[in-house]
Amino acid sequence: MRERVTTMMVIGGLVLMIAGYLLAAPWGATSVDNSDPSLPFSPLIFVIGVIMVFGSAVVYELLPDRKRQ
Amino acid sequence: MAKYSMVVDLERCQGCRACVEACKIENNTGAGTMWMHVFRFEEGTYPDTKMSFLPRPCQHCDNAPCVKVCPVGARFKREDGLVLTDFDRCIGCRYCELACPYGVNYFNWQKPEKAHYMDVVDWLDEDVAAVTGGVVPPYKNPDLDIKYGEEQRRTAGGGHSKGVIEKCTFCVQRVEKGMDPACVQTCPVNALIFGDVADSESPISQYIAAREPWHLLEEAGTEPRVMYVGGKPPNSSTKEIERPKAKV
Amino acid sequence: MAVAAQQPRPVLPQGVGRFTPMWRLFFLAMLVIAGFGLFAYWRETSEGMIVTGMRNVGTQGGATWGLYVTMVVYFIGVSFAGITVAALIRIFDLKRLQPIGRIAELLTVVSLILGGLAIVVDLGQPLRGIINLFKYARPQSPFFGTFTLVIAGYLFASSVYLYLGGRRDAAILADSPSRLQRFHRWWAAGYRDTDEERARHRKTSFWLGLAIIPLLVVAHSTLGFVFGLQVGRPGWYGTLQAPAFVALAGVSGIGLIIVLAFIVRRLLSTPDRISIGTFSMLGKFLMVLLAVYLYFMLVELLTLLYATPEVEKRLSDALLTGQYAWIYWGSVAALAVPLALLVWQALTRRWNVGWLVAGGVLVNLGAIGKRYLIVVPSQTHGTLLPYEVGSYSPTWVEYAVIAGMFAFGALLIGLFIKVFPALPIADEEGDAYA
Repeated sequence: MRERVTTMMVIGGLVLMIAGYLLAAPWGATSVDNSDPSLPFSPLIFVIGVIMVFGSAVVYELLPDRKRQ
Repeated sequence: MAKYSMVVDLERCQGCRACVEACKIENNTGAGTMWMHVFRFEEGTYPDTKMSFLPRPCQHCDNAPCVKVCPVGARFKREDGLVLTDFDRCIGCRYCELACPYGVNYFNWQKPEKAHYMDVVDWLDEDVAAVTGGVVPPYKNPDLDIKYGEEQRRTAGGGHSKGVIEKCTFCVQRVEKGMDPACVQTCPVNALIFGDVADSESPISQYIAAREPWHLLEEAGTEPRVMYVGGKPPNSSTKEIERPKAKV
Repeated sequence: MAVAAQQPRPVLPQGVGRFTPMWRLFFLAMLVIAGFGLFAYWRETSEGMIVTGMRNVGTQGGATWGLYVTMVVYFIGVSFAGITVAALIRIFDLKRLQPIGRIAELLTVVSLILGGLAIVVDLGQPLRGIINLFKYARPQSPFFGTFTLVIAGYLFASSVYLYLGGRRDAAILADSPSRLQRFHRWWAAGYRDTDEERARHRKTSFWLGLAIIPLLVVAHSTLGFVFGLQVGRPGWYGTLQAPAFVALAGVSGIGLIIVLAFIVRRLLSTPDRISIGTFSMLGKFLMVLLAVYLYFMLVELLTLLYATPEVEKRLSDALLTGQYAWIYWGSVAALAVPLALLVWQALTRRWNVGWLVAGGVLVNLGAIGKRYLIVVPSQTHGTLLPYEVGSYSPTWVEYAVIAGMFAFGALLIGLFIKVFPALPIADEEGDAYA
């Protein structure tokens, strides 16, 4: 279970990072036009993704293994 | 879609700085803030010197480095060519000031009420008020607090709050009403021409067609919208003399 | 009824929990300086940044990024080395550096906090800045990388590394009933020193270390890009900026680790935990990085001397022979002299801690000087349009705020080594954990 949660956190974090970055990037805008992030607070999503990826290390170490009987 | 540009005729500019004054009054900018600045150049050494003037508004570049570097998108470019600053969003990092090769950005270092030459005279003194009608300079332009454009952002005027950056806006509050910027309107010799270059019938388009315009700092790759006719670009032997004396 | 015999208070290792009078004095002094810095910053927020020496570039003849941004680059640079050392220890199993692993990680965390603070004090609208950066930060601005990866990502990752690395020692300390027991128990989070847990930690710290390295290369490179991509600023625009930033970051970081290790060693009752072998290995890393950085500087200097574009002439003259010459050559000396000392020690294989520490201090002074030279002269002497040259001199506000930041950092480190052992507690086999 621990491994699964960790992997999910890493993948989830990477997904959030990519999503956050793509949402913050200027799609469709010509090179210098008004280019806000498509979703407000998408940089925050990116940062949360980074935090999740590295936070998975804490999860991996701390979560107890559920011993299967 | 209109595409605004400005032409500066260096053969007409006589260095009177009326444009600088007009800009300050129209836009309520503070001490030391020269949205429009007119260089006084000197080439050669005395007594063999040549003098020239070069007005330098914001160039409203098509490939504006200031827009590229703004971390929060407070500096942005409109469809009609104007590069504006949203002074509600600006965080005062001053990166745009450093990215700009022309040096047109001004940061509000102090509180607005301290930046406006207030201590010259006691404006609230009875005798003074009798003459001025109780008005305390600068005359606050009521158009400067309104949101403009499709983007509905507050971009007009300067000196609104400390800690944000600002620059020439081509007088967006006037352009939106179909008027010319204050500097263009005021120039006594019509050295500044403003208008829509997408319209081939407009005065500015005809002006450009008749002359050969050049740009300032072409090699920087910023694609400025301000064009110069007559005169020549500053080179390595050009020196500025008479720097603005206003100290912040 | 007998009074139960008083058990002597157990003594925690490495002076943890023992707040000596000297330490209290140090803490108080740092608090006072930090407080003064806070006062200076309050002046800045209430009056506006006019109380600093910064002014607009161009017509106002000033520099708009001054000491604060210098410190931003410096602190973020220092943070580079900390976690690199820690990660390298884990990835390459460098046993000789293991004792200083935690100090290195601590230095990274503290210097990143200071770097973030230095950015905030430089903003005209700090509160708005923090919110708007999370809301609107744009990847096309080089600041995006600095803000998201360096401050947010790297700081978190380093804190995780520090936390996980300390669990075993926390568990050991949690067995002793001290005032800090609750804190140690929280940190340990149920750690049991079984083989399985050890293996798990080794795996985590290996992967964590591996993952941090690309993060930190990208983060420091974007910091270099903040300057290197600006066509409009002679002296900034250049391809060498990003690699040079990374190299000097390593130099200043390792220099500070040497200084910190020396201080910690003086405070410990078992000074030989940090052996001359540890110092010499740090010295060798420092030597290589210094050589790389001085090579970059030499290449830059030769290029300037051979052929300077017109626009850069004013700038390079000011750097080499003009207004900034004393800082330029002073920084070169502050970097070259330690390099010479290090090469000498490496060749004679006789490493001297005193020389190493002096070198560590000098390279940091040189790094601060060099960072200043990157930030300021391109503004006063580097305008593409022929404005008159400008000048910049910091005011008491800037000095006070920066002193306050250093004091705050010293305070954090001083506090840490009193609530947690600075060196990993070796176990029976003498194998330090971390």
